[in-house]
Amino acid sequence: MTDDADRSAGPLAGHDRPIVELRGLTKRFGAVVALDAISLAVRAGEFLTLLGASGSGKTTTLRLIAGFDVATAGQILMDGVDVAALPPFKRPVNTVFQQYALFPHMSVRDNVAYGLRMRRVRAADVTTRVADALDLVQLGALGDRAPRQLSGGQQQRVALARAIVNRPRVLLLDEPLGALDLKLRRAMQLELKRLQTQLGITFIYVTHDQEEALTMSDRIALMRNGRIEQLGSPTDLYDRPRSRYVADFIGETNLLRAVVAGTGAAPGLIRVEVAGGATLDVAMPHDAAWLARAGTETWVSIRPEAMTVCADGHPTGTPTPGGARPGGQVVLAGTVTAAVYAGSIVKVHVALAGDASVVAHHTPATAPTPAPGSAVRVMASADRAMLVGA
Amino acid sequence: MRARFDPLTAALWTAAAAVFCFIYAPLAVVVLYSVHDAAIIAWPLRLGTLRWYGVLAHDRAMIDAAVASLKLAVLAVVIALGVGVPGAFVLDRFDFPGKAAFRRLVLLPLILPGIITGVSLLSFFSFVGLSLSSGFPLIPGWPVVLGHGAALTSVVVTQVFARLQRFDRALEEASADLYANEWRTFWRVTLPGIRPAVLGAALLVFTLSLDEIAVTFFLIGRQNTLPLQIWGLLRRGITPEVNAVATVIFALSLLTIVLWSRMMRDEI
Repeated sequence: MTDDADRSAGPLAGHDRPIVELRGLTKRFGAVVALDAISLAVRAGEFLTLLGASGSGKTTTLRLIAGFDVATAGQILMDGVDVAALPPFKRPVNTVFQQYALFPHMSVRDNVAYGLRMRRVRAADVTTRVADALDLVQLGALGDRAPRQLSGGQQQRVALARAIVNRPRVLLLDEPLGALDLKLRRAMQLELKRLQTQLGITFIYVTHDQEEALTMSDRIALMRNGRIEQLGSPTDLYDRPRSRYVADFIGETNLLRAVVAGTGAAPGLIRVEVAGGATLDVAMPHDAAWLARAGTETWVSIRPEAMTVCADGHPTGTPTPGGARPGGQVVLAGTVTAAVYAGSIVKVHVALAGDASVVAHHTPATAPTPAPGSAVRVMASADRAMLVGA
Repeated sequence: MRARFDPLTAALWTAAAAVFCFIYAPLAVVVLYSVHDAAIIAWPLRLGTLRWYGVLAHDRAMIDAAVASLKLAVLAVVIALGVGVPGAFVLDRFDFPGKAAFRRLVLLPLILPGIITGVSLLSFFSFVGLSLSSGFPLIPGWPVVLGHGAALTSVVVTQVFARLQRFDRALEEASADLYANEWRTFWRVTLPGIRPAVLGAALLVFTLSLDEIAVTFFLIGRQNTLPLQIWGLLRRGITPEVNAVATVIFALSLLTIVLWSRMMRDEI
């Protein structure tokens, strides 16, 4: 499921030669398969995020690239050279650790200088490069402090400076913002993205936070059970999820159980029957022809913000409730069970026929919020109702 | 704000004072009698003479014993660290059959009565044919040196192992990630991280070796150690000289503790 997605256009699609390439990378811990033959090509200069729940294999992948663990099988190519057998200190990558792993017995400056000194860079160059790196992360004045005298956010910046001072071509980041509070995390997300663009370093970033991934990444590899479930740009994953798991993991969505009935009334649309008997024409993901076979049991994913709720009997311009129009709209009939106020929107919970239910984001400014118990129609543009794999 | 009289607090203070008296009053007696101006230790105290220290300074046998004890303690530290630190690393970093049993067995010399360790080491050394006086006069004798080293290695293993268990292995990964090979990582990151435990264990081994009697008694050759020499003197009754040597040892111990706590204050 990974190879075809590599062709999906990211912002740096022009760079053909991958800077890091994983081929059939596998890691077993005893009987547990942590990583199941994944293949992935990382483009020079891109911000690639390995996203997934805990145990999905994202950290394992990063540790294999860094060299902290040894792969059971497969290759790790850096600039075309297999480095899988090299120890970490011989690999041209640097890492920002989750808990920062700053050396507690050294000053901030010595921490940052460590990598340069190990590579026997001239003392004068070490001084200037360390000062530059500390300035870059706005810690120029704190070089003499011990790490424990710094706040979490400052320690995070030291960890970053300690890695980028070595001018690696690839920087590995293992949940670097995980220990920070929400506000600081948001600020650091932008900061990291700015640094990445400014320095032109390839970032391989591990996180379990889908919002973080969407904010920063050029491409996201969503991992599940040691495999890459979907690889693509944030928009790809959000708007064209390949599977029910992706649709559910990235953002909020409504999932309706569906059976494929045949081709839709227009190209690109496919007709499905959802639980409760309604027939809908929905969009088919560009690369999932296997889903289109009649009788396939699958799911339809519709984002809450793609839905509008209309009181029944209100003129809508859609003549066939419960059905579809070529290139038109998906319409579902139901009853409001709850309307939950959430600031700028109201989350309207609607029960549909056949035990299904959906949540629609309603903007109170545009129309009155339907009251619980009222019969409504929920509508979405057909191209925003996606057929996804089970 | 003045604290009200609280019977419980008063009782606690009294108990604490009693404990301190119980521990330190005997020491005070020794110190006072070391400057007692009479050959017989009895009331009334006649303070204000250093002549027992003078006697001590001219007691050849006592000085030889002290030198022997210091050599023995230093060698015991060297052996215990040399075996114990790598041993702790093996326990922390590697899995091998019987590891759990070994972890408990390594404590055995600490738990075992010294007399058992002494007897078994004595028969072991006579079995391998190592003379108790071998190495004398350069050192007090190889058997007693090896005996102390063996008996006290477990102190080092337990202390260093406990520290290694708390040591953040990500620091070593960070070092490796920053181009340091295993050797440099050990010297620059791992060792500084466990240094308090290594120094603490060394000090403990030094102190335990210095006042060890049971094992030493079985393994000593021609040269007495300080505790054995003092013990020998005591068989003829407590002399003021014994009080003087006890006071010197007490002062040196106090100095060590002060130095030690200052050293620890700068550690993490």
